[in-house]
Amino acid sequence: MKQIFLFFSVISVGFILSCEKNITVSPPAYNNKVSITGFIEPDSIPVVYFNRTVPYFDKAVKKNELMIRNALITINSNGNTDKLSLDSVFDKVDCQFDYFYKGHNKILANTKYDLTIISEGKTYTANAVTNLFAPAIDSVSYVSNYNDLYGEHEGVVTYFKDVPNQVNYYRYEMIRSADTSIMKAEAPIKRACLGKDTVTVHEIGRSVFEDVGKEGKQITIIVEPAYSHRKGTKGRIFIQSIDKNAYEFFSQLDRQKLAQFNPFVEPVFLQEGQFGSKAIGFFAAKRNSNPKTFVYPE
Amino acid sequence: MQLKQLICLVIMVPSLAWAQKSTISGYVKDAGSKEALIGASVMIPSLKTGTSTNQYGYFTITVRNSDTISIVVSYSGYQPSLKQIMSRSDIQLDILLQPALNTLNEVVVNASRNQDNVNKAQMGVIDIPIKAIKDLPVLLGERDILKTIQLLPGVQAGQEGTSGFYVRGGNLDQNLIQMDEATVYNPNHLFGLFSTFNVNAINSVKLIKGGFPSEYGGRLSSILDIKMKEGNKTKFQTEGGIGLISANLTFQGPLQKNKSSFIISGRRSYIDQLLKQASKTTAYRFYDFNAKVNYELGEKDHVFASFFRGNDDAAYTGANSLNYGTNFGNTTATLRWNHLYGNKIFSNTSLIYNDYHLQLGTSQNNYYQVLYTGIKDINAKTDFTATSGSNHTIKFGANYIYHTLYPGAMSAKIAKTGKKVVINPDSLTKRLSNEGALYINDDYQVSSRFSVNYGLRVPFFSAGTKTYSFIEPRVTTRLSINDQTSIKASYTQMNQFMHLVPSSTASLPADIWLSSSLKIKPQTSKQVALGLFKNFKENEIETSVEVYYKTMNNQVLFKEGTQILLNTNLDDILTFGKGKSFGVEFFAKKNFGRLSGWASYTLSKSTQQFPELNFGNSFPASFDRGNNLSLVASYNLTKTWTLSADFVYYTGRPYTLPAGKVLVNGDGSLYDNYYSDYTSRNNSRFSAYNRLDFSVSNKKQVKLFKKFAYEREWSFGLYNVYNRANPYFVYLTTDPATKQPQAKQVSLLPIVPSVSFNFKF
Repeated sequence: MKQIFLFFSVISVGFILSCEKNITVSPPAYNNKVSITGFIEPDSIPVVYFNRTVPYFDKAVKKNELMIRNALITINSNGNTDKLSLDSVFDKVDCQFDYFYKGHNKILANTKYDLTIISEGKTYTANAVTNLFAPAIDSVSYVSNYNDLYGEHEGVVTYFKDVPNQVNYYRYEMIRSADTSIMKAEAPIKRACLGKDTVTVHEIGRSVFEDVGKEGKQITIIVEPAYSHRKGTKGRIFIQSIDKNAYEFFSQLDRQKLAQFNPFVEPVFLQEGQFGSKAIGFFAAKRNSNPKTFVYPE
Repeated sequence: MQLKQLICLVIMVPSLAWAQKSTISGYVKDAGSKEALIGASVMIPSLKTGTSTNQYGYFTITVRNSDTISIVVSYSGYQPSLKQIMSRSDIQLDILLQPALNTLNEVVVNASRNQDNVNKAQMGVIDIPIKAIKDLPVLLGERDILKTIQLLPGVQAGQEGTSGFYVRGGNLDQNLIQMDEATVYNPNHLFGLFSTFNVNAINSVKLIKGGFPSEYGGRLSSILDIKMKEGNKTKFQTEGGIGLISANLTFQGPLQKNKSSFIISGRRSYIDQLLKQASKTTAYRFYDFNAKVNYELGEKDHVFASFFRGNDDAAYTGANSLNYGTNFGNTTATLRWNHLYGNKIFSNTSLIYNDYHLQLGTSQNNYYQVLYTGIKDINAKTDFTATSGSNHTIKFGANYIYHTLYPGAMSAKIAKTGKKVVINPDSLTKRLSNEGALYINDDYQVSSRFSVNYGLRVPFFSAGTKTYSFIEPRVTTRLSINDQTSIKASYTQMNQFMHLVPSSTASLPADIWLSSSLKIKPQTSKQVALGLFKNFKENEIETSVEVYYKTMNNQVLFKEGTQILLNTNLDDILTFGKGKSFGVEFFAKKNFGRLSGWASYTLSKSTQQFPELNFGNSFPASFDRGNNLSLVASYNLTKTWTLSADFVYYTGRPYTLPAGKVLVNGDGSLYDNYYSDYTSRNNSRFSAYNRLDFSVSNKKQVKLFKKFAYEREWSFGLYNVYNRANPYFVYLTTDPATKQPQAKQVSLLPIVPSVSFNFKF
């Protein structure tokens, strides 16, 4: 009787337990593209990131392998041309250099800028207008438990006034310092690069917001912190006003990431943006609000 | 105007003259149980004419008056019957067939062997003998109708192990599965590994995948028409079986000998008791119950009442932190009244109720989804079959269904507390709708070589203020080249008002039924098919080649990136497009002899195109499998031992992989430093699916304690003989150390041995 039971149990367990293995998939054909991302903001020096994309299953590559050198990048406005130069800064959190093209002249308000990139025989163009108004943050607070599309999480709450009489798009940013005791998402910051130093980090909200139905009214944004914190950790919070091109781009990225995390959501394809099918990315204007100091209460 | 014409046709047709002709009509039944034999062949070889019994075993045939004619009646698994009658007046003739006792030495005359596949103006229709279903190798000892369906040409299996099927490029919801005319919305047991139909309670199974007669409608791709047994009218009979995970018992007998009978059949799993010992995270329980009574009120009236209920309750934990909990069930009840007007018009009037619910909670990768689908239908229908002259068989009727749907869904990240939202079905908004149809169909034998089956169906649907109505022309023609060869062509239009919205990404079923509305337009299809049908060796071997081309509009999928919340209006998160499928199907079937079985090969392509998906470009449907090969064989080794095997090979189904990745500059923490570049939908395929199953069974009459005689059968099987790890789903992950993207494949069923014991007395 015992043997019969054992036989039945083995059969049953064998049947219900699925097996899992790593497989080699034939990667879909992919023609490498370029990615272009650049924000311009009044009173700031323009910065444009210009990289190549890689097939999805390629081994992880360093930023210096992805950045495209020898590109001719110019920003024109009212007959003035600013030729951007290749520059870099060491990212102590990511433990590698960040490469970008940087201009020489400060961006002016209420001006149209044309971006032109010439690289390897191809030309990429886009434009942006720096006519955004800075929103005003009313107050900030903290909530230890909040439920939204991204699940249950703690959140930094920002209350700000919508700029009236125009369609606006917003994004959250917090600037704070971090050290190796801080977790970025779920991984510790690399000790080798940071040592005992602290570093200034920018926490950018993944979600972007449109002021539909909130015209001229107070808007509330609740954002899950990307870095761990302790009671008393300080940060400066900004609300970025971004233009439609940036909004549409980041909105797609947000939904795509949600679909990647959540197996019950259909994958999101990035639609053609300002550069058409030639390149992924955006060239957009933004305007930061006044900063508001925030202290984590726990 | 068109409706008026239709009504006129219906009224005029029965009044056509039958001068100098007589009608032979009656029932064909099993001689022992008096069970109706559905689809039995009734032939008059001298006149080169014939017909088949309908869904109630009734036939009617009109012939010119003559002195004596011979009628040959045959049915698979039975000895043919030859009757000689004088046809000078109308004759009521009930014919009883004796089961074939010795299948090893079966002698069947040519004319008696059913050659409907060649002679009838029907295409894409396959009658599946219950015997074939019983002979096939089975998973865990559970005989399964739907697993057999998956082995037919033009039919594609769904995911590994599931009993869902796709017909000629249509989605799962495009199959209308009916049990005694009641719709069964979810025909699954055990995560879809078995169907909910208990083979011992089934009389007949018919699959229609093209050339639909007008009496059928409401789905685009197929009709699976299942009829329950009526019950033995002459003696009490008990039949049962014990498998690895469940046991079943069927009891039938007369209520009033030769007039009335009943059948009760039940199946209950006991895997839950075993799993309690083996796994704390997996639990499973299912049951199904069938009951039917019938009463012959006289020669012209027959009433039936049937009931079916199936229910599943399951929880499962698997790979990739996949969790799955569900409770679902179907309940159907059917009241039917058969009436004969004279002996030329047969009518069936039915009142049908069905109640379906599915409560499903799935979690994977720290996200979960809960959904609830409830459907209640009240259905009334009446159908008439009239013979006119010797050449026309006219069917007409009407149908009305009142649908109540209450769907709801929610998906979110699992809270740190583990708490999940629970959907209360009572709080869901009900979607009420009315669906109806009128139809007329004529099976017209123009000459011995040429016949045409044509008709019209006029469906209509209303939900709120929105009403849809259509006219669906249907036509199938048959041109015989010789007695054993014919060419057929068909054209059909179909409409569908109930939609199961599929999720292309979820690893487990996460589908929601919705009815048409202002925003959700009915699905429509047009299908043309052409076929060559040829029988060999006095109909011992049937062969066919069919090509088809089908277009479908208003196909439904979820929009990209939509996470469903409880307050989401489901109509707003759908996107609509069109589909196209074409292919060629080869089928060869050996009906008789020690070796029987079939080979089926389908080469097809199914694509979809949605303006809002895949940059508006066409893409392979998620159930597209280019090559489908099925080989099925059963060999009677001796009078008691039977060997069976089946082999399947399918092209792997497509899924979507990102093609490129893009670096995130600045702070990329929220994007894991990269985001994805998708270039086309369903751009990759699982590895090909192939599997060999084998079984051996021993069946004989034995005596218990040398007195009590009964029939018993031992069946031993191996599912997936060479233990191939066929893909169930593939998911992507990133190696935390190397940041290298990886693909992981989850397989479900390894080699699975089984043993079952069946008995009958």
